[in-house]
Amino acid sequence: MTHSVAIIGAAASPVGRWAPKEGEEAQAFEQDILANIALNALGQAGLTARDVQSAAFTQPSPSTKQLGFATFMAARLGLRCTGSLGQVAELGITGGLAFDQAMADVALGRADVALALGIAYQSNATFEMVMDHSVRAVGDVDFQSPFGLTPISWYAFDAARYMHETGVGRADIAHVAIKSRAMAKSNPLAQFRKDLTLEDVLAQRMIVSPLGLFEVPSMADGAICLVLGREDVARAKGYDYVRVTGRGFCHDGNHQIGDQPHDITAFPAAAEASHSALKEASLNLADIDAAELYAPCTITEVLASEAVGFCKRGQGAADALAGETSIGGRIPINTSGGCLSRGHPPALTALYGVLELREQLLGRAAGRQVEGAKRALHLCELGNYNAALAHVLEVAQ
Amino acid sequence: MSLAIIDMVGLHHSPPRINAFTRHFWQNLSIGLFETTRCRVCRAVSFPPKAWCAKCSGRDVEWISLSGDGLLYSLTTVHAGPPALMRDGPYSGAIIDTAEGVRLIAPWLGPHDTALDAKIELVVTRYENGSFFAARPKS
Repeated sequence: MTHSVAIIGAAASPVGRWAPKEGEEAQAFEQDILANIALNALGQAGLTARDVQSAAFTQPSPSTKQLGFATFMAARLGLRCTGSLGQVAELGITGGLAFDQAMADVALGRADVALALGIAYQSNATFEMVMDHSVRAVGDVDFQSPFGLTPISWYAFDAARYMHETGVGRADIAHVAIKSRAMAKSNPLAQFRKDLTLEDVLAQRMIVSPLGLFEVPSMADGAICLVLGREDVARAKGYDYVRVTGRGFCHDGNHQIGDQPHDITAFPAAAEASHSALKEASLNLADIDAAELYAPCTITEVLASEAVGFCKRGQGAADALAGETSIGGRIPINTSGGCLSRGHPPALTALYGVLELREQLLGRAAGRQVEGAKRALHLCELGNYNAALAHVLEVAQ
Repeated sequence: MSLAIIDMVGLHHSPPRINAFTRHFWQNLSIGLFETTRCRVCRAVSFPPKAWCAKCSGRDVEWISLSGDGLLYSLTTVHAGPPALMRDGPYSGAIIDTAEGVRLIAPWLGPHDTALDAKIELVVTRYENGSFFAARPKS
């Protein structure tokens, strides 16, 4: 009953600010954009909607008028699911959960073909609504949210503490933004592709100290569909595919922070989830050729890199500066450009991360290709890396 | 054990939401007492206060009083936040580790560049529509 799972198709919109504004006549609505992407993704594997048994949608944004979005979209697309159909949502890990559910349905034999897909509009929501939702999402609404800590404020806490403990400076950490931009330049889906210097980054206004405008993510819209299927079928049909060979999940038990002192910069869930995934894939960390780590801020990539074990404690920023985490380095991380340059529609970020690794493993990441990449690690999270979900992807054998 | 009470001008944008259990906390806070719950069985202290224990799943808890002393674990200043909070400009928030070993979040009333691990004290901020807690450098 357990089948090996492959990613057999994928399509996505560029990440950027393209959602129609309130009161503007839209070129297309959410369903039109997502249908086009889903059909493109299915088409890569020569499939139609009727070949799909399961679909896991990411919950749309609050600005999306249509509710009941999963069955609505299924009806519009012509899906007839017998495995499962629904929306998944939990903060930043949402896209990862959609991927995980589609993967589980294929692995368990509930579906030969399963979709993980969604559309997210951020740029057309009012600033007030975005802020109201975000402070309620990342804090206890009675004992924390009234103090106005936005999601990235928690990463700012991490940065302040990390700098205090390690002596690493803001400029060192800011280098993550530079190397992300350098790699995003050749990613056609990336939101930001212009040259960026350290002076540019450090000259921006503060958003949540010690992080400025270019050290935190921008608002972004996105739409993406990944098609998963049984590997034996993919092989028999001669598809270009990558395999999903490991999976791990861990929640550290906290919502942002615990009520007992703990090291907020340690991200234990990241370590646990990625090590579980590697164990299932029978791989060691040193076997990984490329990684996409969910990292909304510069500091987050540094801390996740260290937690997983790609970099030594206190060395994440120095390794980024030395090129160790860029193309040609020891372990290229976030070759897509990551949340800072590829862009960050939070509900979809994990799906875009998996897409990037698929491009790498299929040798299609022109201009930012990790030569000979055979094994990759994807890691996504919610909160302050309180929960983490990891997947290992490998080239077809 | 009583916290300093600072009278604030005007209304809080999001006054405390109170229920039968948390009423004890908010009423005591308004007179300068910072109380939370401790499990009578495993002695785990909880914040926010709650009627059960997340460590041993017990339901026998008691109220204890915190001294208000603690250390500044981390600090940030928010320059882009909810409009209702930004009316008076950027504001700071802190992660506080209390002397009793409880970690909590509080608005920070001290300098935005205060060094971490500094000694702090919790205070009560009294608005016309309710009282909250905040932290500042220990005087």
